[in-house]
Parts: sequence; structure tokens; C-alpha cells
Amino acid sequence: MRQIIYAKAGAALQKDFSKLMPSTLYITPALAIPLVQGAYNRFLMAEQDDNRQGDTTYSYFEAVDPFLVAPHLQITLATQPPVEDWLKFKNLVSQWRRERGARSSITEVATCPAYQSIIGMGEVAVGFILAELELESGDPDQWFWALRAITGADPVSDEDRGNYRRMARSWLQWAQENGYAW
Amino acid sequence: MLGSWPQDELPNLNAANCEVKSEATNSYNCVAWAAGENFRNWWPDPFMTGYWPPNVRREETIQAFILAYGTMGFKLCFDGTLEPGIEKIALYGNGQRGAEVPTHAALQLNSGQWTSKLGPLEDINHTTVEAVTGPIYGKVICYLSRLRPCRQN
Repeated sequence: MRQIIYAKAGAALQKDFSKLMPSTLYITPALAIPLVQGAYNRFLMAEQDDNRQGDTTYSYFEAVDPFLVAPHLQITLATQPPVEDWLKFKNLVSQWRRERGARSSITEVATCPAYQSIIGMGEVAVGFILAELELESGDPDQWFWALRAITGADPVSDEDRGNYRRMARSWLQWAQENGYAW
Repeated sequence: MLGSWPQDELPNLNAANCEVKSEATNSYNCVAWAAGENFRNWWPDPFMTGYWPPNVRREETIQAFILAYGTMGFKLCFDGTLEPGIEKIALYGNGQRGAEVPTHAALQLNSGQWTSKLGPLEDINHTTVEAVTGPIYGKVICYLSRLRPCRQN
């Protein structure tokens, strides 16, 4: 029997995926991976021998586009969480960027309705925000208010405040140290 | 198209009175730009996201912004008239007279034009200080000045 195990995970992912937090692993017996481009960036293939029940061997591959390495897979748009959460997050991000326009005030920008809705998503938004921060590494956006509001943490040193590149590095390091995967 | 800002937010900007001078970036904002910095965002927000000069009250008032620029030698002055050897900042705000909330800062160039960083968007040169007034930045509340350093434009 073939299983598809797909993971929402970041650079810290090890080949031994037993090290992943259970909440970042999604397992389906179907041949179709619920996938939205960018929502998942690591894929794990699980091969189980029917004749030796319970004896499962795993192979691992990593790709942005699983078609490249597993062309037999049927890729479909999922409608169940967590992809639904990811779509909600991406829509709120677009809405937020429209709402803030040319505003300079960090407070005004962070109190835009869409940004507050992202904060309202709670812990589920943290992984998505961390992924955004990593993608935007050259010019990170203002995600720090939301991260602090959701997690209660403040890993940024006083001398780095306002310097979004350094703040992004501090948050990504903090996230790795605290078991977040993205 | 002038730049990436929504035209209804800055209705007084047009092709005749402004020029886009940079790509959009999140790296710095208008308050930092007017202070001569392009690597961090200044703002006294309650979540400690922005940089704010040490020993200046971290509050969103015109007085706190005047004190923040005061750490760089700026003092209140009468107006935005170009004066040789003098560098000026215009502070913008919205709200009730006497209790305006700061929204924006622009720096006067040697030419008499002004330079503004528009939130997370581009920085621009604008011919008049009023060109960026409107619904999001409000109006000019006060001007600050200091002796012009030898660095710019």
C-alpha cells in the first residue's frame, strides 16, 4: 500500500521525519495530495509492503512541485484544513496590503482589519507568517507585531528594533529553537 | 502611473509635482528617511516594533516626535521656507487641533523640494510640502530645522 505523507515544514526538517512535530504531518491513503502551490514545501513518500504488515520503509524527497519527482500523483486542490487556513491567510495578506496603502504608522498598519484577522487566527497563523518571513528574507514585511501578539514572545534586541531584516532573523531563530516548523 | 500608492490616499500628488526616486521597500519608513536613515523603521508603537530613540517617550504624539528629532539636533521652527544652510522637516498629522496623531514626515532638500518615503512604498521628491497632504497623512502640523550637515543632495 502506498501512502502519501506531506509535511508543512521548514528548513529544520530532517530526513528522519519522526522528529517532526505531529501537528505538521498530514497523512492520507489517497493518491491525491491536497496541494496549493507554496502551502507545503516538503513531501514524504511512504511505501508499505502489504505482505509484511507494519513493516514500512520510507523514502524522502523535497520539491516545490511534486510533479517533478512523482509524476504519477494526482494533484488536487484541497478544501479541508490546513490548506483552507493557508488560503484564508493568503487572502488576508492581500487584503491587508490593500488596506494599509501608503500608511507609515506601524500602529495604523497593524490595526488594519485584515491584519487583526490574521492575529485572530492564532497559533495556526504562526507557521504561515514564518514562511512569509523566510520568503521575504531580502525585504521582510511587518509581521513582528502579529508574531508578538500571538506568541507573547519578544526575541528582538532593543538595538535591532525597526530593522526588519534583523528582526526577521531573530524571529526565525526563536521559532526554530521553540519547535515551530513552517 | 505615478507610483504604486493608491491615488485616492494621496490625491494631491501628480506627474507635475512629484518624481519617484526608489523602489518600494519595507526596510525604512518616512520618519527614518527624514532622519537620514534607510535601514530601519522609526515608530513609537506599543508592540516595540519600530525603533525609537532611547530616553524619548514612546508615544504617538507630535511632542514625542519633536523630541525624537531633537535627539538629532532638530528644533521647532516657524515654517518650511528654504533657507541656505538649514535643513527642515515637516511633521504631518491627523486629528483634532492640539491633539493630532503623527502620520508622516518629509525632509526638505537643498533644492527646496521635499523628499518623502510613502509607508512601505516608494520614496519620492515632491515640489511642495502640501503635495502629500490628504486623507492618510492629514496636514502639516509643524516644522523642525537644524544646520544642514554636509552629507546630502
